[in-house]
Amino acid sequence: MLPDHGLRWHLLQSFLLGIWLCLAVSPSGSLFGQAARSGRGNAPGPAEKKQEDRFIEGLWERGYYDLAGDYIAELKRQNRLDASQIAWLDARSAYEEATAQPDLARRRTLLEQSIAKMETAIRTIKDAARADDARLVQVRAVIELAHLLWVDSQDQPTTGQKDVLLKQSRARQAEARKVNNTLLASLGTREKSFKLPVLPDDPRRPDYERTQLDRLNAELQAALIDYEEAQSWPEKSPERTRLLTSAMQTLKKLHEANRGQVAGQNARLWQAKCLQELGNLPEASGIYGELIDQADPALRELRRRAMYFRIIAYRDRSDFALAADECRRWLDSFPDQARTEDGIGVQLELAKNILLQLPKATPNEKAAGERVARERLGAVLRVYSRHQAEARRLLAQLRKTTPDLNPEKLDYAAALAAGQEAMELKDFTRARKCFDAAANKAARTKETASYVKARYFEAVCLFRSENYYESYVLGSHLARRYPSDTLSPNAAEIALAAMTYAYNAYKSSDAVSDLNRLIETAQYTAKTWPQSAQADTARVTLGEVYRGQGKFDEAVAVLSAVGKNSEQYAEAQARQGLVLWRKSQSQSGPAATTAANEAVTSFRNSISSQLAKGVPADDPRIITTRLDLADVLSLSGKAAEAVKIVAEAESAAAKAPPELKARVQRLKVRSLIATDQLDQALADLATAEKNGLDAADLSSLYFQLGQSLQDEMASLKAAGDGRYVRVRQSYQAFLKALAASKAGGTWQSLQWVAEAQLDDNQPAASLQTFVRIRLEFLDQESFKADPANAQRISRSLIKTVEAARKAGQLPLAATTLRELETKSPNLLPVIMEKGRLLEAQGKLNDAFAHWRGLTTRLAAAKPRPDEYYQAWIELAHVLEKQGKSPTARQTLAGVLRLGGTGFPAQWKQAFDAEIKRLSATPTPKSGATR
Amino acid sequence: MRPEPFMRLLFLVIFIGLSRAGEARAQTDELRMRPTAGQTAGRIIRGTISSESPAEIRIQAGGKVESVKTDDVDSVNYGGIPPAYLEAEIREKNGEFPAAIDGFRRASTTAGLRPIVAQQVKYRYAEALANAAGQDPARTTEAITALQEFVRSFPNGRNVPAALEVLLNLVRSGDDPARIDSVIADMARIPGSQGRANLLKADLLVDRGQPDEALKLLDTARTQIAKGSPLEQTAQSIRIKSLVGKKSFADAEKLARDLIAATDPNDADALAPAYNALGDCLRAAGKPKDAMIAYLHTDILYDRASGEHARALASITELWRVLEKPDRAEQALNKLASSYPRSPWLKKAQGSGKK
Repeated sequence: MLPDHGLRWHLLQSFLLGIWLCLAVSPSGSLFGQAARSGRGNAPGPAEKKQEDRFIEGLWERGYYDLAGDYIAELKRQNRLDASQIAWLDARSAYEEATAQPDLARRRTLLEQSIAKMETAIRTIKDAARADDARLVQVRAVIELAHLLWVDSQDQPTTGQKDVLLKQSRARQAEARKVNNTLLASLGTREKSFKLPVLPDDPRRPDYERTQLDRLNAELQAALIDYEEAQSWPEKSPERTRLLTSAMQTLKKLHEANRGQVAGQNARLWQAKCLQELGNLPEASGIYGELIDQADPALRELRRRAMYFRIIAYRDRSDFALAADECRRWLDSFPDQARTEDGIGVQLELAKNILLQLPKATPNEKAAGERVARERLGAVLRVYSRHQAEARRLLAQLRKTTPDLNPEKLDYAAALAAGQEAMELKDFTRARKCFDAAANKAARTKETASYVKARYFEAVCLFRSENYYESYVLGSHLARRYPSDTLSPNAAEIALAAMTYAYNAYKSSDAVSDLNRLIETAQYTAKTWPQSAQADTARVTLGEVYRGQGKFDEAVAVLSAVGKNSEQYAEAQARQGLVLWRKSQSQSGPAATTAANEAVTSFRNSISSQLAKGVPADDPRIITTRLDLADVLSLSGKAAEAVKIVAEAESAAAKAPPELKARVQRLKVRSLIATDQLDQALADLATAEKNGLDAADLSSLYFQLGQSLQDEMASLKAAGDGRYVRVRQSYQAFLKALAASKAGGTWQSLQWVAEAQLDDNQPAASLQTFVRIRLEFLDQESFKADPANAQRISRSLIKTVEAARKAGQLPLAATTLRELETKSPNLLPVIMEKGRLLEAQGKLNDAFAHWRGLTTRLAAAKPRPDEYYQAWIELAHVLEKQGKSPTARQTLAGVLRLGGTGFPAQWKQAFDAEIKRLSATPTPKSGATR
Repeated sequence: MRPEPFMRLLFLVIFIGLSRAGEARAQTDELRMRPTAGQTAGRIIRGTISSESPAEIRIQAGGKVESVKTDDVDSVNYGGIPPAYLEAEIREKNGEFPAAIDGFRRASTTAGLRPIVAQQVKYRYAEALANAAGQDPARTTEAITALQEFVRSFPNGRNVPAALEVLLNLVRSGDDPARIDSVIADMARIPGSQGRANLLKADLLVDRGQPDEALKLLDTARTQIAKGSPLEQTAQSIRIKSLVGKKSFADAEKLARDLIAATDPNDADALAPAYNALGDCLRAAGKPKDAMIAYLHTDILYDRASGEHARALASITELWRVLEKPDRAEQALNKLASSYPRSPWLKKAQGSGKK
């Protein structure tokens, strides 16, 4: 399988990559963001700021985040700011970029990185005031992330998926609350440190006022965290009511104590919102009216928001016509706010209130109302906000009752918007038609940029509807025919992703042509836009393809071209490590060692790069790279280092996906074996069981450990390694432990243990386990009654015969065999066991007749089963025991000769080995034979 | 204060003058020439068209008569065109053919139309009918009749070759070879249209399984076609098709790739056949997925070329079957059946599925 490039192509799949083009993010962010920012702000006043700070802020404001990053790096190089300040700016830069990032997955990554970096940076800031400023931003970042998780949860298809995100959102709210409490405590201490009174002409006055204002904002923030968390609980649930009540009470106190302050009025507004959501509409409406009537220009933003909240209150009291009129008035009064979070909310309210009036409308009014509502919902849908999910639901309902407009009749902008709307609703057929119509219109008027945009969306749409070849055709067409368009690198990326998916989906025929197309597109992308992120994606793809083709040097060349500042650097290095490791395995001597060492370096580069970027250590990508590194170290004879790396991975893997956890366990066992710490592995399992790990997970761990031990034993035995004996002892102990454990309480586990004991030449122990299986399962009526267990019973009995025979318990073997023969006389394994038992009982003539008969019987089968060949070898054994080794040898040679070219290779090998062994056996003297 | 009588007279003179100027502009014809090498836009000639024929247009501009070849003209805008005509043009562009037909019909009844404008309106009416027949096969006979009547009424009209080509496309979907030949023969009789007629004939020969004859005819037509003209591109497309018919796949593939690289990416008329031919070559070379990609270009980007689109859909249907994806084959076949219910390619695609 080719890589799907994790995040980048996942974005494509979820259409986020498509969204970024046309959608502007609401400039003021979330509702909460506006509220929190309505205070003084967090940074020192302009007069206090250094020139460097002001310059960086200028870059952020203009959206030059990459330049800001470069500038910070330059400051660091020149030591122009102290390390703590640099670390803080770096963390803040990620946050600023996140707030302007419309690509939601990218926004989430940036926020996570920023929060992780902030935590580290703040700890190093010595100055309390600066640390508090930083914490204010940190709280905002954590709330922003919580909000993002909440928005994401609203779009999840299943309740389970929704709940996971809601839980994460609440955890982030708790984190925000904790940081805010620290901030409040620090601000309180600072405020108390001022010796009162601080009169207006006191030089400490500005600092004092600033501290007070920050404290006030932090208190407001604390209440709003409660409000925001309340949104994550179902309506009228006790948790929601509790949080809203708590927020309302805090806000009330804040307002009463700070009536003259903007923050106090803000508290009043949110107090009303809490009252409204608690069902106290009259009081809430009264407060809104009071705020709207305020004439102070400083409260303009607050009044605007109060008007919006009042609209919701009108709807809540079923005043739909008034609410709709107020929405129109709001939008007419603040046209520049239409795409802000509030503006989007008002548009949604307008649509909702129009729809709520439709049951009483005339047919003409109904048609007109539905058209307007649909337009508004479409506008809401196209911008990231908390209202998106609701708009999507309403629009989907509306589309069921109202016909879609023919895209051919729409103008370019309307066709494009209709396409985006349809795509948001996952109606890809209509979306494609709309984009196609838009593209044709743009082509007629020769507006290239518009044409490319429409076709680009069409390519995304085809990709999302899993029409990979079609998506490739469009992406490639745009990339090659319009290379200078700004969207072309993105189109090339879609072509790459589409062809990768096509390769994986249609592998059964002509896969080479897909691979060639993929290589060609990747090479073209890397060559045409060498500095772009898409070029790096192409390089990673190329590296992966070359690795698959065994072209290790080419793979290393493209992967090493991904620069250190690239988003793809860590991934490229991780993949380069894998390439170099495979290269080392294909070589020998110093070249192999060099390649293996380089692989280790690449893995380490990848890990350190990700950690430096603030990727949390429990990110599956980092864990995977750590495991790759541990693998290489373990196989290169650096077991002690491997143990250390696995321990790091294990400590971070608590929340990792099960398959990754399983790999951690496997590697841990392997590295423990390599460092002679098998007892530790067994002890770990015992501890896990003691700690209440459930039986299924425990079984899985036991089986992995068993498998690892078997593999290790095989390789140690093949290498003639002295550790084999010790590992085998541990294996035997392991089998006993498994049989005795909770995981060994199932038929599968016990059967696995018993067979493993048999394979390990412990027939007595195996027989003991089989006896237990018989008692606990085979003899149980409930077990016997299930038809699905019939095969299991036969298998256990056959293996019991084998174990009893090998353990010398021949009467038990005979009794069990008779039991089997009555049930399944024609089962080949039963017939085989019968022959072996006759042989073990010393009834050589009977055994000979048995095997002869069986070979004759199976000779007619086409193709011949393995038992046919095995029976000949068994027959030779009987002959040998009868002192007829030459006859045995001749018999086998004859069978081999007659088999001709159709003789299976593996059996030919077995026959040859047997013939060789028999030839080496001294031929008894003729007298003796006689 | 009231204006003086002299001033009032002056206003009147200016007003009348402006009105006449507007009228004059309304009656001015405009020729937009094709851009020549190095030009991004062609020359515009404004004046009064005195005569038109399939080969040339004579226009009186700046006191002298200029004669231009129709092959060099990109578009003609007549002065005094009725509003209903303009509206119908927009309707037709949006694919609303019944409304367009109605608009052209209303435009043809406008009083005082100049003969060349009336001729243009009649042609567009017949053409709109032919386009409507693509959506609604029941209108085919009506369209054929209108086109034949146009050709009979204006044997020397500028649009006659185009009308005959549209007519040929309509009759080609039927089963009457004699009728098809007769349309081509009619076109060949028009002075200056021999080259075009030969190309259409060559195309027909390829469809009838005579690629060698088609290539010979194309060689003959070479001297009849102006260099760099759209006809030259058409000739190359038919040559590629003939080479595919002759199974000279390597030559055909090279020509097709050259044509694709040299053509404007929005030129559906040239690129749809080129991509289809490329698909044919790649398919014959045992590269089903490469062929699929080529046909998909026609399906996704150049579906305006309806005949070629139907052909591409049929090939895509067959290729999905080859790739053992019957559900995708079914999808493509359904699209073919709903878009081109009377296309011979539909029968072909359905037939190949039953084998």
